[in-house]
Amino acid sequence: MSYLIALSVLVLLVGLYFIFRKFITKHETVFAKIFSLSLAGLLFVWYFASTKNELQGVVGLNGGEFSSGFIVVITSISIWFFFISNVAVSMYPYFNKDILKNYCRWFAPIGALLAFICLPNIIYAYTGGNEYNLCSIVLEINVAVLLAYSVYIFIKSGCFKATKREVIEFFCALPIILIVAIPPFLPRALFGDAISGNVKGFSLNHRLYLYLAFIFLIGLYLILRKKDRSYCRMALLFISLVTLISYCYDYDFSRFITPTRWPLHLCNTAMFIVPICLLFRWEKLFYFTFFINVLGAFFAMLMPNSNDADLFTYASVVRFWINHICALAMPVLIVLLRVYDRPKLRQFIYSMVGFLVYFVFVLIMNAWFTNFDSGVDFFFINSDFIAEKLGKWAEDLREITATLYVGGLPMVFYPVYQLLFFLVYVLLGLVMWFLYTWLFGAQDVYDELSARNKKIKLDAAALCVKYGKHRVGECVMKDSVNKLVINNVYKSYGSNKFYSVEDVSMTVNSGEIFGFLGPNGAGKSTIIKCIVGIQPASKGCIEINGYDIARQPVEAKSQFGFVPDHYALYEKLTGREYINYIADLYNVDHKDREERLNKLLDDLSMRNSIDNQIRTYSHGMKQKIAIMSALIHNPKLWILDEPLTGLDPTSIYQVKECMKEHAKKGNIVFFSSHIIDIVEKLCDRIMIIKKGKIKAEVTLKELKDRGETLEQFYLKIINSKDEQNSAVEKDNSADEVIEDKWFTKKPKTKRRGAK
Amino acid sequence: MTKFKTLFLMQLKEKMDLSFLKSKKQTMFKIVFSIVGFALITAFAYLVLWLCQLLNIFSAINHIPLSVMAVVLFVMTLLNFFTCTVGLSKALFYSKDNMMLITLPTPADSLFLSKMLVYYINEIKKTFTFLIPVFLAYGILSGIGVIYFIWMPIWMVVFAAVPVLLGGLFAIPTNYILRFLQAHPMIKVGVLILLLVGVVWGAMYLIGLIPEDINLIESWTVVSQWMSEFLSGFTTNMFPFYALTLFFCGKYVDKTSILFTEYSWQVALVLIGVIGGLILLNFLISRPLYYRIISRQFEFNKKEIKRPKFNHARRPFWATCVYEMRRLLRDSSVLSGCLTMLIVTPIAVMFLNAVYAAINTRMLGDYFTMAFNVFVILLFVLAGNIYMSSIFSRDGEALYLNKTKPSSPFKILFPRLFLSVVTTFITVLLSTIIFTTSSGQTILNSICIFFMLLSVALTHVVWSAEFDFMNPQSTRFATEGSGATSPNETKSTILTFAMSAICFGLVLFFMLLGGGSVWLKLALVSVAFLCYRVWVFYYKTKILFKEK
Repeated sequence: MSYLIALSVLVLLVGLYFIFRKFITKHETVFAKIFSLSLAGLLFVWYFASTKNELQGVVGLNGGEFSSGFIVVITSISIWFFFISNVAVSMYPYFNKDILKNYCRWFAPIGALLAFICLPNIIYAYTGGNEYNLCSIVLEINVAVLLAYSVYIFIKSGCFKATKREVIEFFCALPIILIVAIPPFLPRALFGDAISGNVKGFSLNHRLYLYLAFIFLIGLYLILRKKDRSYCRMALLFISLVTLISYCYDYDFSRFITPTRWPLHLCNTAMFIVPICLLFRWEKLFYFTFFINVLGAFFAMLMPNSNDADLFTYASVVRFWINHICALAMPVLIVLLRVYDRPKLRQFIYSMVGFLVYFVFVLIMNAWFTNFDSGVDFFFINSDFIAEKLGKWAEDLREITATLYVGGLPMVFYPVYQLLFFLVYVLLGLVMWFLYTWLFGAQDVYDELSARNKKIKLDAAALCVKYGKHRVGECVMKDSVNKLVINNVYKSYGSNKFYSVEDVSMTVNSGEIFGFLGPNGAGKSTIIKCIVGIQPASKGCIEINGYDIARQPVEAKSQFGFVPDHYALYEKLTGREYINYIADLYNVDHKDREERLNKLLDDLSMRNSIDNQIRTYSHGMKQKIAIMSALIHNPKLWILDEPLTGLDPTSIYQVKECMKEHAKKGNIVFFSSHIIDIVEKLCDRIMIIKKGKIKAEVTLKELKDRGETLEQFYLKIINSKDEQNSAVEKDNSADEVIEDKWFTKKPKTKRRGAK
Repeated sequence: MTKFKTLFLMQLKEKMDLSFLKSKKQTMFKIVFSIVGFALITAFAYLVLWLCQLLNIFSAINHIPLSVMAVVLFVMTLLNFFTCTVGLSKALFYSKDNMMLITLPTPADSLFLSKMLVYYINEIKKTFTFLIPVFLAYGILSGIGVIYFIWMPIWMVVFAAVPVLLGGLFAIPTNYILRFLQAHPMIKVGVLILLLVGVVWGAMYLIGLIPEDINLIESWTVVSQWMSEFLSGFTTNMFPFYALTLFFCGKYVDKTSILFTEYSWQVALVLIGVIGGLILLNFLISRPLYYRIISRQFEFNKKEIKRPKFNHARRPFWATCVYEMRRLLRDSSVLSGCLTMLIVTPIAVMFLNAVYAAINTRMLGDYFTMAFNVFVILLFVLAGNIYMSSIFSRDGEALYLNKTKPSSPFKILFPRLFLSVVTTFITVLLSTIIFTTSSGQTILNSICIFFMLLSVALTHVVWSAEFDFMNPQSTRFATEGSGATSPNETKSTILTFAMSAICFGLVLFFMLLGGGSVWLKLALVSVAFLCYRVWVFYYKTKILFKEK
């Protein structure tokens, strides 16, 4: 008989499809939504119309009213798969996701077919074999509709046509879906009480469930964190719906019309609120569960109110854990996966107002319904369940009562105790806010880290693509060997949109002493910091002797020695220790080290002080130590940031000689300075930077040929008005400024003062 | 006055991190967090006092005598005095910002006073984190009237000036002693060795005094009598502190507390008089010497090096380890911290176990003993490593050097934890040997305990270093020198307590749960957690090194 109704519906649907095929194809979306809503409605009706579940009585395949263990297994599995299929197909028209489509076309037909085959047994399980009641008939229709619609999706979506990635994704998601959708009676029906021992007091069983809760939370987060928002919403909605079905395994319509049995405990409400919020985006309601339920669920999991007789696989125990794991994990996951925004103060206030409404509601419900059912204890504020656990003081507080009479019915309240209860929850809500803030902070850090890590990998891959495969440490930019090459470098600080340095490019060749000039705050030090790797450039690339500082930092850093604009060194070390340390870092062998250090000690007159602690040195001595440490590995590129400031004439002479000698050996000396005279005498070429932009690049020989001093040239450039005027100046005296490309204005970028 | 205010506020802003004021949310967080913290400390103090009252430890009449609070006040004042003396000798005379402040066109009085006032504000903050919560808890437990909860904090704030002012006075001789020791390293080493020998000898002597069999219940009468005598002796000999406590808390008569007694106004006058006198003394003695002393901060004795040293070549990793050790060991605060950790921890464990060995405990007691051993070892070791939360920032302006070194970030930063790793290893090894020998653990268990403790301690080291890497305070150290305090150190201190408490809880929890291989499980979890934290540190340094 059960097959007859189901078959009739199936034939009817197939027939209607062939008759109205064109119309259905034309309005496919509308029909899809009608079918999905019908499936959800049908499931709702028969599920809550059923008053019992025979599978609850089955223990380890042996008990219950079923004829054999095999029937129990096949019935249980068919119910399990049927729920998954029904939920998946119900969601299908609302989410355009491949994984959902694949579940609808590959899994749902199997689930529906299995349910169809086992229909008599399912009906038996839910109605005790009564094939003519409302529950049975609707169930039969549900199975038929699901079968018809899932087969339609299967054919429509190209049967088994899929990419390898889709197949892998399908099978990877399967175990998770099966676990989250497990019906509460299933473990006991299949495995009996094999895992004995109750589930409280941190017993092994209790701990297993606790571990499961955190594995669920962390596992789902890790799986879904890289998916987009709508994917996460779909996945979480699916989970919340299948777990809701599991949670309501012993619910029927009578529960909804009996207010004293309403699921008004906080964690119970979460089972309904979460899918509702995911479906309808009720923001205010969601943050209520986010702030209030999670902590409650956590405490409930730590101290489950189960009996000693409640064992690991009992349906009530499984349901308890499904409920609390969801109440704990789902709100957190929803925000962590950014389905809902992170709460602000406004949302916190909403949630507290929501909680106040809820609290007052359950207060009244408790007080009112206690007259009809003494066991009524929503949110545990009517009985002494919590007070007993807290101790005598709480029980004493609960002794203070106030009674109101409404229509002759006494309504008993515990004002002090209940007010304290409320305030404690508000405080806990605040605590949760703190915890969430930390959690989100940690999430931000890891998100940023993973994004950057991805960028590093992409950079490495890009380098590989550009220059082919190369060994680590191998010089790949052959064009920039023996050179310092800076290409279109931009630098902004933090998340600031303004550039401190903008579109800087230059090439310095070996054997050159290159002067870098500019007023204070022009961006000289910023450029130098980018070159030496103290700060990364926001855009552009810097190549040092064939190595990119951003992509091959270790190799690039081995190529230069750096003297900063301040004399900050490790002051607790002696000069010798410090230089030896630097030499060690650059792998300078003992012989070279002795030789170079001795020469530098003589050149810079530091032999008598080298074994004193650096903190006892004067400014000039510290500067000399910085110079010695920069030269100890004989770098290809020597960078000095304002090296002569504060030095006495002798020291200046010594440093200048060092620079000349280093350049003579075919190395590059790159230095910034404000002392124009020295730059003029020392440098081969100079570059002037102003407000983060290169204004001029000229050789000293060219200046000499023009009969112009560097000072005159510098002042002319610095005092000239910005871009527009400079462009005119460029037109008038093209020979004065060598590189006219520096005047090109970038329309979208703005600049702020150098940091 | 305007100059003084500017000077004071400038230093206060530098000392205290007030950046949270920029955001309403952060301000609210900060306020709520402070209130919660304050409430937690008060609750903890209440719990301890309530337990003492319940067990009639100090009095047979189910009450905490006022003399107990007087002892608490005395001990805290003494500790504050020492910390203020050392702290002020650094803040007044060794702070790097003196170099800039000394050049400002402000009178010497303003500079001196502003420094003292900034320190006093800091001291008030400290008072709110311990002394006031403890006295509040006492007030709640003793049912003292509502006025007490306003009266007591106000006077505590006033009283906080006493150790600061005393510290200001004693900072001068301390400074001279420190300078003398610095100038004579041999004497410094000698004093240090003498101190260490004294501490070890004292500890051994005390351990030797512990009887072989302590029966707390049988000997309770004797202990109780001794305690009672001690308290009454304290009341007599340290009457000023008792009078002060009486002034703060009132008198307990017939199970009720009377806040104001006939002596209240006298004590108030004396207290104000003492504070006034100390201010005057500071002005007369410290202030004139102030400029003279701080100018010496920038003077160094140049030593004649007779024999030139040799150059040694090392591998980069070892070079960083060696030079980092040298640098840190030349920092007296780090050196003393390491030595304290190395010596005090094993002695404390030995002392603890000597007491436990003498007490006949049941199984639950044994569990507590083991958990408490773990707690004490971790507390000492972790506290000894708090300086790791400023390990990179201590470079000050030289922090940039890390970035110019031709090596991977991990190889540059990780060896800098070397000294801490070595001292932690030795301390944990010694402490574990003492603990496991005393409690008769098997070799396997001992190894597991060692690895558990070592992993937790190293986790703390790496985590603290990560705090510093993520939020470097080099500017602060560049301005204030090695005496600067970093907010990361506060975080690391909280982590110290949290990790020790969690380990205590876990050991106890697993012990109570029963089942075998408790230590093995804990060791595995700790090692796994250490690996995770090292990975996080590695990952963060690899990715964020360029930007930090």
